[in-house]
This record gives sequence, C-alpha cells and structure tokens, in this order.
Amino acid sequence: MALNNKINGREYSAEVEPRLLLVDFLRDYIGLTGTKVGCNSGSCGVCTVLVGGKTTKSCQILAIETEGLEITTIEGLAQSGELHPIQAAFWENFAVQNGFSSPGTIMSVVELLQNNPDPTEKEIKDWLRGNLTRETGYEQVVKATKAAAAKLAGQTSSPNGKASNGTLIGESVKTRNTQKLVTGEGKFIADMELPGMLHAAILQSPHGHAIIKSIDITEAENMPGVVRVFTSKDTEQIMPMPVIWIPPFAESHFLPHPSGIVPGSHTVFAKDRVRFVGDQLAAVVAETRQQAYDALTTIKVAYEPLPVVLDAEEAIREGAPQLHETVPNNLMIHTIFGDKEATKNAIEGSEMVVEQKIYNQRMMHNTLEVRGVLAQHDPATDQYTLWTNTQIPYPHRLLISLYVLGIPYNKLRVIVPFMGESNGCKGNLYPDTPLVLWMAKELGKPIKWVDTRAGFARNTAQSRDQIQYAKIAGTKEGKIMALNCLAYSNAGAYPVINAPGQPLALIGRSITGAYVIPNACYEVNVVYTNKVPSAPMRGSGRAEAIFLIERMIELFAREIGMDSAEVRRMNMVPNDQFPFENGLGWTYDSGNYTKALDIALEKSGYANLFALKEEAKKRGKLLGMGIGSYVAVAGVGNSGKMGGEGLMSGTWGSAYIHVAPSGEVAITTGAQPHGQSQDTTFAQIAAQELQIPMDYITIQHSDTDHPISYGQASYGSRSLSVEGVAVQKACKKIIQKAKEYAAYAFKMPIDLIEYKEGKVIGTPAPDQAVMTLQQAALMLWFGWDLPEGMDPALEATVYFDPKNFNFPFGTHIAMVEIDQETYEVNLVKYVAVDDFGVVVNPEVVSGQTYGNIALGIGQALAEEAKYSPETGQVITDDLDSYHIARANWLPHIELYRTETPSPSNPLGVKGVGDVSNPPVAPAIVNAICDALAEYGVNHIDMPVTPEKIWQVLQDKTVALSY
Amino acid sequence: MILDQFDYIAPETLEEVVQSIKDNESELMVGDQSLVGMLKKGNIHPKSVVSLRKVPSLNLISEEGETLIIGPTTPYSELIQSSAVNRYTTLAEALHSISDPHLLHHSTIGGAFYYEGDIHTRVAAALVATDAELSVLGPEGERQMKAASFFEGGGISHLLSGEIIRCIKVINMPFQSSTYQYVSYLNSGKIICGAAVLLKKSGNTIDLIRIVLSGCTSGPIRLRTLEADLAGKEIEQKIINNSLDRLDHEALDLRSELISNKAYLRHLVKVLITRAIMKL
Repeated sequence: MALNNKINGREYSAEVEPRLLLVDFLRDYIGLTGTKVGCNSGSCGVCTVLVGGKTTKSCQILAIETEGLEITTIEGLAQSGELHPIQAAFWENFAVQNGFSSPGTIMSVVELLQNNPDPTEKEIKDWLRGNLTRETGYEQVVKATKAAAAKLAGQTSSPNGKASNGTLIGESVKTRNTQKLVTGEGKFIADMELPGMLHAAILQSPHGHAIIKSIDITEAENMPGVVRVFTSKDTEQIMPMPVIWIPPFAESHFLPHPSGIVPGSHTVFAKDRVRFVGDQLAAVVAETRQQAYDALTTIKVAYEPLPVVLDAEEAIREGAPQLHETVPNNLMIHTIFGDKEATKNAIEGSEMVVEQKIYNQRMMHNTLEVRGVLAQHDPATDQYTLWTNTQIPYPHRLLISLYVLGIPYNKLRVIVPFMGESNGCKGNLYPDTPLVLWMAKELGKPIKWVDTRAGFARNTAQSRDQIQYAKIAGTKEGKIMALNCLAYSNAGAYPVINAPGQPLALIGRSITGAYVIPNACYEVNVVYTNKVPSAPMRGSGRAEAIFLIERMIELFAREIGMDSAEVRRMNMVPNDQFPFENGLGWTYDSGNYTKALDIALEKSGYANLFALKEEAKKRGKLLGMGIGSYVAVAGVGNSGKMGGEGLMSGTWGSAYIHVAPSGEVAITTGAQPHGQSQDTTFAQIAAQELQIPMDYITIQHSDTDHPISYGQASYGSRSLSVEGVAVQKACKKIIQKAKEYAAYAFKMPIDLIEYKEGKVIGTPAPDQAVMTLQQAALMLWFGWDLPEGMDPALEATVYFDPKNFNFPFGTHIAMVEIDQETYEVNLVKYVAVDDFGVVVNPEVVSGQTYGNIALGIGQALAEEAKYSPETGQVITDDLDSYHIARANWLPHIELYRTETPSPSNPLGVKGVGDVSNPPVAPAIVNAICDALAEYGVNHIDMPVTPEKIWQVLQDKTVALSY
Repeated sequence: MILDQFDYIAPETLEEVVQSIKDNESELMVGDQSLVGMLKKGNIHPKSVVSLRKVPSLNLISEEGETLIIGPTTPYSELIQSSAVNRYTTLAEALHSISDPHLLHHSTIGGAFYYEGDIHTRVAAALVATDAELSVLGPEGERQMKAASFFEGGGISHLLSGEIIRCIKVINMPFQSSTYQYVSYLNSGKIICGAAVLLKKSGNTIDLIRIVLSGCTSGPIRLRTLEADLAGKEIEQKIINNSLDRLDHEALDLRSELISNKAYLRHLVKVLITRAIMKL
C-alpha cells in the first residue's frame, strides 16, 4: 500500500505492507534508527515518537495509520546542529548512561513540557510511567526534565556537568559521546547494516524438556525470501560452548567438550533433546527480518515431552528427572566455604539461635535492548568480523575461535557498537553468537540476528534463584557468634561460561557482610534444572549474600529485643581492624562502617521511627523502616586469586597509550563500557596524570583490533579500580620515558627533570630546557637521536593486577508505608550512604547508584521470572508480565557518600557499578517486615507483593479491617 | 512485528464502513492501539482491518440536552480534557487513572467496546454504571443498545454482521454522587480491581446505589444483589461490612492474570466498595 507522511519536516512516500509497524517503517524504510525497539508491546517506551505532536509508542501503531500525518522522531529535535533544550538538559544532568532509553524518554518529555511548562516531580514521574529505564534509576531524568523546563522558560540554569575540559579527579565532567545518544545518531547493534546483509531468525522449543522426534523444514525452505534453513544436521562440526570456571576445590560435574581443555555446555542447536525452552532447534536466514520470522512459524517439530524439574532442591532428590547423562542427580557443584564443624558447634553453644528459610527469587536481566549479532566473513582474506552487544569482546574472540568454531584467533575481530545496559546478561557467550558467525561464512554474506523480547526471555541468562537455609546465633546482648547457610542454587539447564562461579565465592565468601562473625559456613549445591541457564546479574552473588545476612541480623535483633541498628553497630568490623580477614576468604581493605551507618540513621530520621509509625497509622498506613548495611567485593583481579577460585582466565587490567607526533593522546583500555562512562572518567584520570586538557585524550575500546593484546572487560565493578588504574600507570610510564628522553636531550641527570603541566622541564634551566609532551612525542617519532637502548615512539603498554580486591561499603535505609486495607506498598523515603573510595566523577557515580537502587527496588517488590510447572515454559516473557521499576514507584532518592581510599590500588578507588545494589532489597524487605512486626510477620520472600502480604496476614489469622 | 498478513482499508463514509465489514472477516480499527497488540500476539487473525480513521464524524464529543454523545474513535486524551466529560465523575475518574500519554492518545472509547484489555476495563465499568447507551448502525439501519446489555451479551459478538458502534450516549443518572475506585498492580497503571459506584442518599441512608466491578472480572459486572441489599441501609462501616459479607455468596467469577488468589481480589472488592460509599 502507498504510505505518504511527513517525518521531521520532510515528505516521504513508500509502498508498505498493512502489517508494518510504525517503528519498523521509521527504522527500516527511512533509516531513522534513533527510535528503538525494546519490549515490542508498548510497555517500555523506547520507541516513543510524536505523531501529530502526540506521544506515541511506534511499536503499537500500524505505519499505514499515519497516512498524511506529521511525525517527529528524536532525529528531528536538534535544529541546525544545536541540541534541543531537552536533549541538552539530559546530557548536562547525567540522565543518559548507555542511552538506549534516552531518545524515547526525551520524546515523551517534549510533549509533557509543551502541555505543562513547569511540571512537578510527581507530574513528571506519572507522565513517564510508560517510559522505562533499567539503568538511570529515573532520578537524573526527573532532574533533567525540570532543568529542560527552566531552559524552555528562558531561565538560565547552572548545569551540573562541566565542559569536557575539567582535568581533576573528583569533578563531575560532562560525559563524552553523549551527544550521539541524545540525538539518536549512535548506532546500536539493531541499527547496523551492511551491504547485501541477510537476516536470521532462530527457533526455540516450546517445551522445557523433551525428546526431539523430528524437524521438518520443507515449508520454511520454500517461503519467500528464504535463503537457507539450518538445523543440527548442518552444524555437527561446531563444538559446544565452553565452560571457563572450574572450581579446583569442589566436587563438580560438567559436560564434555572435544577440546579436552575445558568442559562443555550447550550446542548451537539441540540435537536429540531440549533441556530448556531456550534450546535452539533451527535458524532461518532470509532477505528480510520479516521473511525470516514468517518462515520460522512454518517449521514443524515433533516432540516427546519429558517431565520437567524447576526447583533446585527437588532436582537433586532421588527420582527427579535427570538432565545430563554425565551428571548424577543433576548436581553440578557441591562445596563448602568456612569451617562447617566449628560453625555447627558455635551455633549449638550459643544463647540465641534464629533460623529462616529464604528464597532469593529468579530474576531476569530484562535489558531494554535485547541481544543481537551482525557477522561477516571475507573469503578473500578469511577474515571474520563479529559485531555484537557484549560486555566481553576479547573473551568472545578467544572462546569462539578456540573452543567453538576452531578458526584462527587472529582471523576474528569483535566489535561492540553502542550498547544498551547489560545488568550482567551480556557478559556471557551464547550459542546464537557463533552460530550467526558460522552461518555468515557458510552463505558468504553478512547476517544480522536481533532477538525478540519473547526470545530473550528464553535464551538469555537469568539470575539469583537460590534457596537458603540460614541460621544465625549469638548472645542475648547482641554479639553474633555464628552464621550458617545451606544453599541450593538453580543453575538452569546448562553451565554458562563463567556462571558456575557466581554461587560460589561471590556468595560464599561474602555472607558475613560488614560484621565480625567468628564462625561462618556456606555450603552450596549448584544444581541443573530445566530453567534458563543462570549467570551473574548486577550485584551478583553479593546481592544474595547481603540479603541473607541483613535479613538474619534483623531477625536476630528482633528475637533478642534489641534495636537492629545497635546490633549492627556492635558487630561491625571496627575501624582499627583493617585489613580485616573475614574468615571466609576475603580481606576487607579499608572502611569506616559505623560512620556510614550513623549518617544513614541520621538522614533517614530513624530516631523518630515510633512517632512516624503512629502518625502513619492515623492515615491507615503501616509504616516501617529497614536497614541494609553492606560490604561488596569489587575490583576483579587479582589474577592469581581468581585462578584459585576456578576462573580459567587472567583478570588483570591493561592499557596501551600512544602520544602522537601531534600531541594527541590515544589510550586503549581493556574495559568494555556499557553505560558506565569510562570514556569520560578514564580521560579524567589521564588528564590529571598527564596534566593536559582532557580534549587531547581519546579513550579507545570496543574493538579487538585496537592495540592491546587482550581486554579483560567490564563486570563486577572492576573497570575503574583495575582498568582505570592501568590507564594511570600507562600515563606514568610515558611520563617516565619523556623524562628520560629529556634528560638525554638536555644533557641533565634524570633527577633534575621534572614533569609539570604537560611539559618535561630541566629544573636547573627551566626556561631553556623545556619540552612539551607533544615535542617529546615528535622527537621520539623522528627517532633521530635517542639515548642508547631507547626505542622510538612515545607509547607504552601496561598491565595492572591488584594484589587484593577492594571493598566498597555503606548503609541504605528504606521507609515504606503499607496500606492497611489493600496492602499496597509505597516506598516513601530512601537514603543511601555509600563509600566507593576516591570518586572520579561524582555525578556518574550517582547515576550508577540510582540504577542499582532501582534494580533493588524491582527485586524487592516486583520482579520474578515465572515458569509453567507443567512445561517449563517462561511465562513472564514480556514487560507486561515481568514488572520492572517505573518512575512513579520511586521517592526522591537521597544519596550521601563517605570517602575511604582503598589501599588496593594507587588511585584509592573502589568499585561502583553494581556494588550498591546488594543493600537495597534487604533494606526494603526489612522495612516491610518492620511495618508488619506487630502482626508477628518475620519474613516474606521476594518479591513482596500486596497479595503476599495479605496472604501472610491471613495465614496468621490476623483480623485487620476486614 | 506482526506475523499474519491482512488487507487494510480506510473507508471515508460510514456506509462504506458498514459495507466493508459486512463483506469480510474483518477487524475494526477504531483508532485504538489495543488491536495492534492483539495482532502482534497472534490472538486474532483477520483477513482485513477496516480503519475508521477517515470517518471524521466518529471522532466527536457533543451534548444534546442532558445527553453526552461520544464518537467511538474519540481518544481518551480528548475525553479527559473535555469539560462536558468531566461532569460525569465516574467516567472522569476512570479516565484520570491513566497517566501514560501514549495510552491516552491511542486508546479510544470505541476500544472499550471492541477490544479487551486492562486499559479499557475502567472506562467500560464507568459506562455500564452510568447506563450508557450505544447507537449501533448496520445494514438494517440503526438500533440502540444498553452498554450493560452489550457486555452481558458477550461483547462484540453481540453485534450483527455489518454493524458498527456509531456513538456512545451518556446521560445524567438520578444519583447525587459517583466515583471510580481502583487498585493498580504495583502502581503500574494496570488495574487489578476497580469499582464504579453511584450513590443517592437521604441524610445518612442509602436510597439508591449502583455498583459495577471491572479489572477483576471478565467484563464489567453490575452487583445487583448487593445494590438491593444496600438500599435503605445506613452509611456506617459495620452495616456496610455486613452487606459486603454477603458478597461471598454472590456468584462472582473474580480473576486477574496478575493475582493468583481470588480471595485477595474478593477482599479488594470489599475495600473499594466501602471506600467508595464512605467517600460519597
């Protein structure tokens, strides 16, 4: 059908199918890829545009229905190269992290401010209820919206972000590359195209466990546009996914891998049997994405369903359905951290013992951007190129070439385009990725595969899902003597590369939290089930551990009749005990735990809790406050220690620095940014160290062809304290070389050469013996006259492997009100006091903290992956059934920081990215249980929904209003 | 992405619309985004989609004497801004429970009758409670139908071949006050339980009450037994509770995709009705 409309002021005519959605028209026909696809059900809002000036989710409207209408997309906002005031405000107020949700949110704000030039915080949050962001935590979005309103009203506001020329660590320098994100120019994986590119769609199983009887692809092969249909018959030479975390100290059972070096996991296609609903059965490659998915529906698979097992505790019982021939009783790993016998004895000898079963529910990462791959093979050079939205490009290069496809490492290049949030799920290698690369070679054409929301729900790792039987014991005066946890971790159907490590050290060595607990033990069974494989998620491991200890300390305090804040204070690691061995394997580096607790208590008004409760009761609300104190291990390496834990990889940081003859500095980092702003913060570090303007410095990453040997990537809050320190070390190294060259050139001893303000200076004659870094770089580039043994070029490659991890800490306090009639939970106040050591860019750090808090709120109150108990199918396969935190759930979040430098690295920094997630969920659940304390409610498993609260009170036969 | 192919037409007159939907296995697009959601999920497989967007007379809000007339393609965002609509408190409160601007712009009052879905249940309840009437145009001419009969008779299947809803008429009811009370799931805007309540009282005694549930039922359900039971009762918490306790015996099929325990829904029904009565 003919479609004529006006987009961003320009007339367009096109021939379209009636079923074409507006979002696909804008992206695929007009090339306006600033409008994103997220949930595809009108829930997340990343596809928001204005149609006739009205906020419209373009995935929920037929393109043909816009005939004759005027459409504005994010690309239409900036005029003559000038950002729209809303775009500028989002940038200046740090409302943009990975930027995937930014265009849609900005478009919604455009209409809001047209209708309401001076909205209140509540009005903004209500309006943005349909624009989700998984990473910003909304706080800076609200702030940016208010700032934009002021700009549009002609008021001059002082922006938070400084121009990108600040040089000092500790400044909130405006983030780099953000202009491309607020204008929609930045290309994410789904936005990329190559000439002659084909599209792939992948068939998943509707059964969680079944024998594959037959697959009939005849009809699909004859569908319009279909180039080829692949099944397991075609891919026998492709090896299974590798597993690279094998704990040396534990009993473990993995799957075979033909390399003989590492164990295996799932294959690119399931052959005889599917073990979870994300197992892949076939792939269609066609000329268009629509044709590929059309053909996918015609593939006929005959299954013989098998019984499913979804619960980790049930899976290791006698008689449970067995998943793998090589794994008796579905047990992947069994191990113990700490002294089991001593802990048992300490519990038996204690005055007070409290027990609780806790289920830390299965979470879905549900990034708004799904995963995707674009792959190309050049037969002339045998060069493979893979573009994908992964946290780990170098491991992709290594694992795919060495363990999956058996192709030369040097012939594979991995590139990461602009990338949406990961929350950890993009830190794995999935079978779809090498499959697409292999198919591209087979067909001799580039192939793109971009997942659907429903597909993502089934093939992409999920997380948490641990049953914990906990015991805490101590004296009646509040001294904790012992903590024991027997855990069952649900690993899903297959071990995903490094995922087996997550329920081990990250939980096992962390369960004592911020406290001195003389006897502690964590015994874990990591178990295969027919669920989607599990892997780390933001807060990984520490979240399960901190939830455990913070709930148990709360229950213990209640049992002995003491204020839980006091119990925390008396058991926290004292300031003079650092470095502190926690008895489970971590050495806490530095801290002032009670100070953070005290600030949080003061800022939250904890002392007035009783009065607040009384006042709330008069309004029909049950009020409660909850504390979550934490210590979270961060800064992975050290490599030796990680090897000892079982990780088959180094974890050092790396950086390559080059000062060009022009004076421009290019630094390649081993980090892999996905919203954390390393482009900015690493440039701040380098600018401070080199004492030159930030604008001279470029930070390179996201391409394995950049000049470092290997990048260990970004995960587990390691980037700054490992890769960032490598950047600092690289700067020091080229300063040293410049000084050595200057000493030779000036004919002075090196001791008399000073580096200051971007210059090497011979101190005896500072006016004559002086050379800028650029001049030094030029002379070293000429290489005409160098000291004996000195190589040309002002460049350096450095590695940094910290001797210890670092341990950020803090205390969060949540205040909730529960409606006494409907049991709806309202989070009314949230105070976070965190210590991340030295902070490079405070607003960037705040942004990540808000994101951690939003995720924790989601876990506490709403999020849970649900499965059909009969088929093992994932029921929560969209953002209407899986509920993530919306803008209107959050009160104003109050952030405070203390700053205790880490001795683990020369910058004194600690991890930030995911460490402040662990205290959130326990703070909120503790607050809910506090609100319900008078009814004898000790614990409710997450997510704590109104229905669950009602049920618990019913079970206690408490008669409230009805 | 929609996997099914279909034809699409957008007639310019009502007569052409009637002709088009008579001839085909079609779905009517009343300017409401719900249909796109149903097409994407594969819940419906129409041979053609007939759009009303080119029939301007179907997008209107007008008043004829005591009657408010609304065309089926009128979006909620226009209704919410209409001073005429805002005089009908139940309908206005139901509309004000929607804050997502996309849903306001791309949900129409016709959608409340043509499509299922959370967004419409609140409006449907308000219309049933206020005795709204539908003018239905078909090959045989125009007929009137109560909104309540429409839903009780099975919704859209109640329409004959070639019939379309031409307009919705809302009249002022003999009640003094009204409200729409609801609980949305985790503050997401999705209603898990809602009650449209209209009340006429003398002093502190209920003369007449109208109660329609939605969100927790398959369609808007009027609680006639409860209405009769409450009539003549004093507005006092304990007395209302006694009447509500009798709800347990009323054959109510409460349901919600988001709530697993029907007893909790029943509890919410009682809470919301009580809140409504006490407020009014």
